[in-house]
Amino acid sequence: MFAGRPLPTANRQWGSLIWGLAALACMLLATVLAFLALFGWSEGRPDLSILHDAYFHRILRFTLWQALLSTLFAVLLALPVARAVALDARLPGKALFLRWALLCFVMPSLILITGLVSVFGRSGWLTPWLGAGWNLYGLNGILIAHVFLNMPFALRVLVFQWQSIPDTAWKVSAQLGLSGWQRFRLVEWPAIRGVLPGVAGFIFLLCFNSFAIVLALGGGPRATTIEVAIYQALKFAFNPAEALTLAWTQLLVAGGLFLLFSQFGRLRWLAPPQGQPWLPALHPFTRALGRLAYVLAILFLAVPIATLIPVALFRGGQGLPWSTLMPVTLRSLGFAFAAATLATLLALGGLELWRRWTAPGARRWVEFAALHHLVIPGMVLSVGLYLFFLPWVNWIRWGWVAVIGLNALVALPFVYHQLKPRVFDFDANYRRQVADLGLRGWPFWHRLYLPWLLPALRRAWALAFVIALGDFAVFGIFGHDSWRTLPWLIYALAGSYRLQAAALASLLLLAFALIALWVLEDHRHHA
Amino acid sequence: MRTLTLATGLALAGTLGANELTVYTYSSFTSDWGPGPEIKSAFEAQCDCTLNFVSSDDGVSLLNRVRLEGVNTQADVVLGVDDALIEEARALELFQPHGIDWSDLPLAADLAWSDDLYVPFDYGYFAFVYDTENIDSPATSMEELLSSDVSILYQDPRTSTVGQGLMHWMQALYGDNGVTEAWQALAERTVTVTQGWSESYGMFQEGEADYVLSYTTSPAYHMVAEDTDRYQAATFEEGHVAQIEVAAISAFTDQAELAAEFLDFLLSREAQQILPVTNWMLPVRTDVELPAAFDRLATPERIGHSPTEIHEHRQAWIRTWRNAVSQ
Repeated sequence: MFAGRPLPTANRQWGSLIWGLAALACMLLATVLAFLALFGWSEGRPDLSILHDAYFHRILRFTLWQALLSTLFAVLLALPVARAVALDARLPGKALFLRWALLCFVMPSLILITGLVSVFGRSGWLTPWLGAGWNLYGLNGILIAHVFLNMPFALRVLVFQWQSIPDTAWKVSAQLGLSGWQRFRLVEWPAIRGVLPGVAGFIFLLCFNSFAIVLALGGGPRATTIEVAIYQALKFAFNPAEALTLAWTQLLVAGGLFLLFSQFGRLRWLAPPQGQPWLPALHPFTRALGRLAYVLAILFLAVPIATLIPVALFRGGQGLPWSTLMPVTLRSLGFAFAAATLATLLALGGLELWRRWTAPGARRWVEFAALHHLVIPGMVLSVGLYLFFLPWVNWIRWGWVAVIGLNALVALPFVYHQLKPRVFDFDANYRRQVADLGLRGWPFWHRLYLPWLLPALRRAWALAFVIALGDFAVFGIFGHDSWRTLPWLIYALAGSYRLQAAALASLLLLAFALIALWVLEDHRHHA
Repeated sequence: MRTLTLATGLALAGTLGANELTVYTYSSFTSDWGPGPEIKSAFEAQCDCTLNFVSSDDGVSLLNRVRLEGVNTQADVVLGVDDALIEEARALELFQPHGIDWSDLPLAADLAWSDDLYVPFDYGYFAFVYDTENIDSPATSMEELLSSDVSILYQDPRTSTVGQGLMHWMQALYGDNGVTEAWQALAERTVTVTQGWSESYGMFQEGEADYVLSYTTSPAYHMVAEDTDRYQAATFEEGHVAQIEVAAISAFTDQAELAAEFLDFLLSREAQQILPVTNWMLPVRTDVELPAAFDRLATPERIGHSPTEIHEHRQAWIRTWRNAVSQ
């Protein structure tokens, strides 16, 4: 209805300014309130006595130890596979494999957990061959799951690095008659060396903040991370003071690690696989090893998920909790839809300010507001806000608002990251033309800006949708049994060993994630 | 305070127009095979009201929830807190007196009940249940269980009243000095510590462990409902800790009369007849006819601390457990 009638300039500017400022306020306010709670402004003050408790030292040590091992395995296993994918021209199914790897990295943890329990659990089909002492619960399960989730990430980054070695480097090394080892040392190693600390650091951080995997596969207090201990302090023992101290620990360690690792630069993992005209000849032995690694990686990444299909369908559709599944699924989709949309609106709002305020200082503030949620673990933010509002809000009734809002904030940095380059390009290319045309307000958005942003918007929205759909930690704090989401239903079903039902629910969740990611990948050629 | 009043106002508005009673309980009580459905229809037949169950994972989570909601709670009755938690709940002033005269009721003598806030609706003894197809000669004492080469499932004492029961049992048997060692011995035999009773019992039936922490009455379920003697409870010569499950009227309810009526109903012969064969615990009344299987259950000696002692030490005992089993 605005299309034929240009809005007054002031009006147009006020609209987007208010939107931008509101988005900025939402981003910052959540953090400020959470910090007020952390400082003991609201319900409970941090209880520092736990810092002397042997239990605290043990979980801190375990949290670091499992993250270190997970990182080592994930990166070391990714290296040979990535090399094979990048350099072995005749390897079949590479494109599909890389797409699957992307899905594995953003896979909702609960799908994986159900799959792992079906394969490696006490009555898993592979367990009889694993020896008498095998126990999935504890460090074993945590490591398998973390490698499953993070190896694909390392893989995608490394494939990209290997592919980015220029043709000329390969040709020169061939002309010089370098041996395979010399070529690796002189051509390949320098190309991947640069990203390894960043990749390892990022994976370490993800494993340090791991919640769902550790809660479900940790098997009790022996294998607990700080993130899980925060949840337990609040939800099991209702001990806000202890939860606050643990949240501080989580924040300081995770934040410190992030600041350290972010020095290593930005990693490319969403970038599409590159076609390569010229590849070096591989030694038959290393090529065979690479192919073996490739096949093993496919098995490792496919079996725990593929196994869900026979498990879910084994006994037909009888006895499945369809009546529970339907409302839970709809609720999950609704939450994820709302969170993804909110995250996108917040990011667009932030970017409006970014476009408007060209001063570097102001822009840094916008960037900080949009990206700082990467550094603050979702659990810390959740606990802070939960305790801050506790005296006034009945969370059992209103927790869903927080679940949507906090998931939007958790996804926000990823959305912002996806959108910003596109917005930057737009302004760089068209700012002047837009000014000359006098296009503004709704016609500007509708005819020019949104169509230009659309591919990036789809990608960002889909990514946020999958992140929110798989949410476990935020719901863990704010959620309740009476309005479970799909991941928590799966957790409850797998926990009470109703594996068939859990597998079915996992497949549902996977289907929705796949659909969203199909949207994400399908439009990549526009990017 | 204005926000509180507003919230209470909203809560009241939600219940106006219908005679509704909201009962908070634990999840296995409301499951299809639990007592929930039968208790609901039997009470609704006599009260001209609607009975709504709202469930939490287990008894401890239940108390945490009511405490968290405080004055905003939707609960009229809280059902499923056990005697180990009643002093803690009393100190938080979450409940109001029920006004029942105990002298009229044929209550089981073991209970020795005369409390003005809490109404016991069933009770049982914690015990480790085993599968006779796996275990030929079950442990006859905790000492023997902890030194044998078996796998065990139990529940987290922070969330589950059953796990909490084990904590009191271990404390009663080993005291502060020996309990850490006993917990560590148990930890070596533990498959996993679950949050609630249902998870661990489900895992046990799938063959995940030799023993699961449950009740002496659990075998009655298998005998009556599944017609099998396969699952049995191990009787320990040191004695067992009992659990008395209670219900109470919320201090913040606007349905106190209906809530009291419901508590009366829980003590009626009708309800007491339903509970043993759905919740698989012992009835608190002595004049209830039970299936023959109940005669074949172990009748252990009762040991343990008083609710007041438990209230004083609970947090310290939880820390001891946490420290011992995280090593």
